[in-house]
Amino acid sequence: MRVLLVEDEEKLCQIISHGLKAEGFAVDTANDGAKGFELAMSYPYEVIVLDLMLPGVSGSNVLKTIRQKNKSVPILILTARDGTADKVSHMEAGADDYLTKPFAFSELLVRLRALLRRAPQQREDIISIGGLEIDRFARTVKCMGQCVDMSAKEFALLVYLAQNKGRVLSRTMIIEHVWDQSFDGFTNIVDVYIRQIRNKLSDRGLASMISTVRGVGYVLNDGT
Amino acid sequence: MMINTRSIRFRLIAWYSGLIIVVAVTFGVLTYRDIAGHLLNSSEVALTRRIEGLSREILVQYSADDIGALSRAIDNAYSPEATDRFIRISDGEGKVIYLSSPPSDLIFEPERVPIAQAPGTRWEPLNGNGLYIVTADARLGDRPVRIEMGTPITETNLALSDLQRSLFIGLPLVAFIVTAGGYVLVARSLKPVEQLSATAQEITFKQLDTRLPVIETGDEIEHLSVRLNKMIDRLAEAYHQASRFSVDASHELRTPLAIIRAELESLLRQWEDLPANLVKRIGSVLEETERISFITESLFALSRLEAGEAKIRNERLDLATLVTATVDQMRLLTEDKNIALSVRSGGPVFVQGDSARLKQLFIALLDNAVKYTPEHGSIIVTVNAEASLAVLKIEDTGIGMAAEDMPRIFERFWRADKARSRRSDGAGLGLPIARSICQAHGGTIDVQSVEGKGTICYVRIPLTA
Repeated sequence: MRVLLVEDEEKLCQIISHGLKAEGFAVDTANDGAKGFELAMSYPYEVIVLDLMLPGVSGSNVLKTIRQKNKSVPILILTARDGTADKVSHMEAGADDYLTKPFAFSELLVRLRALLRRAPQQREDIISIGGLEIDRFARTVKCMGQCVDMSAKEFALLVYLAQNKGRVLSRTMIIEHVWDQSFDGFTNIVDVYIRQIRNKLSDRGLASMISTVRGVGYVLNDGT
Repeated sequence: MMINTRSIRFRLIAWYSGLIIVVAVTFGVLTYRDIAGHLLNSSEVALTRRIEGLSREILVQYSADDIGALSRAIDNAYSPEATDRFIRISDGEGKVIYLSSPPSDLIFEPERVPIAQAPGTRWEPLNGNGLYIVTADARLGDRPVRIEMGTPITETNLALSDLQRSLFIGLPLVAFIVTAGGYVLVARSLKPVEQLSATAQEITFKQLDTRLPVIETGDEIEHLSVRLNKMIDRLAEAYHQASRFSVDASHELRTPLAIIRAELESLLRQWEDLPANLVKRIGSVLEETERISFITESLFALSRLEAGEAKIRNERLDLATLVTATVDQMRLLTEDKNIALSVRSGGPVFVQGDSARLKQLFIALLDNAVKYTPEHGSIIVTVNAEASLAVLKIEDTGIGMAAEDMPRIFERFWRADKARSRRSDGAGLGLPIARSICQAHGGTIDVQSVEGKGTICYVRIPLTA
């Protein structure tokens, strides 16, 4: 998977690039808009990560020019500007996703993977992890064969964790996915829900499936 | 209409017309007195001259024994009955020697005029009119006599009453014209001031582009508005600089934060066999990084809210539905602490606003209530329409706040010592953000609290049709 990363902050560029490489991506980097645009036009990237504040040609212009050339490559905007108006205008200009600095690397990763799943995500109706069995169609959860009652939110959270098995999900990502952004930062609602789910799972003997990665978020493993 | 007696308009007109009226009245009174005096004075001069003529030219020709001839001579010379003149000559003992006949129009009766006691001038009132009489001593032959010569002052009176009438009509007229004219003049010259004050009222930090109208009158008010506009320019510049600063600052803070975070995360990811102790420490640093990020975000959000970006969407929405739905999403937070949470609503309450922001406002308030309510407490949320306002009330049985803390609760970063010591999350930005959102929706937020008993929070937002 070939990724183009256009980011002028060299340190950040380096870390993201290392991180992505460790995840198995092939990464090209550009430190300004002109070079970014040149690379984007020259190679068939599968996804482009684009900073908005760039020296020379701005990210917005790079985005517009790429789209004018009718390149349908998915573009993720990475920016320190988070105005909702900004977000909307760039989505309209052809960006596929928008991530605000500072971000959790795992979030960038999840978003990139989502963009790369061009075709509708292959989602089984039944997800089985360890002793846990989630039926997305029937909306039931079984632990070691026993049914567990879950509220709608608990169910949505558990499915989200299960679909991203082994990947740390940040609170922000969970809030955005299961609630909406209004809750971000104001409440410890995610922690409370995670605790509830953990309690319910541990009642059925699956105590250690969801673990906390301090400072980052939560991850669901198969409990081994 | 209430008249504002402190207004420049009122005071200017009152002073100015008061002064002019005083001047006019003084002028009228003085004129009246002068003219009256002058008229009487000229009568006195004429009468004195006649007395002198009488004694010099007629009395000297006659003796006291020749009264019949004297009377005829006087009648011939002065024909008193035809000229309405009063003439009397009496001796020292008050015996009348000559008395003019009653005037032809009978406006006075000579017999009834009392005899003068001493020389001089006097005023003898006579049924409505009056006689102005000059008395002088003279000699008739070898006898001293007293001559009284009078004239009715009807004409003098007429002239004076004409003047009086003119003054009585004229003065109020002058007063009226002065006041009305003054009103018009003052109103005209103050009109620009009213325009200025009307526009000035519209200028807020959200409306800093508006400038006062410069009415080109060339007068002081034009200068004033030009100068005020320059002042507003400077204010706007300072304000924009301040808000640009907070935007730039949070912007500049984000990239290094992103780097710190990414570095720490990659550490955690790439060396999975780090000692647990180290992982814990890195996690702790990451948590604090997240905290800084949140504070940065909140400050940034706050400055954008204050810059008027709070109502990105502006739709008609039912506050009751929004609140009920949000409460359901947050119910677990209260269940977790065994807090009884109930929502009461009297039907839909429509307001105009941005649902995401309003939700944020409500979450911030409810989260505070949950945070500061101990286990087994209760929280009651009420949404109602009262008059023209949607009223959201959040009542908790929490730890409350001390009265002396109340004025500060909307300050940025402020947290009660008690709350601070509990080491709860948050940065003291929830309430300032809540208030900014509320104000952006034209609403108000009020907090009442009794320490140890609980807090009631009211949000009032104008209803929409």
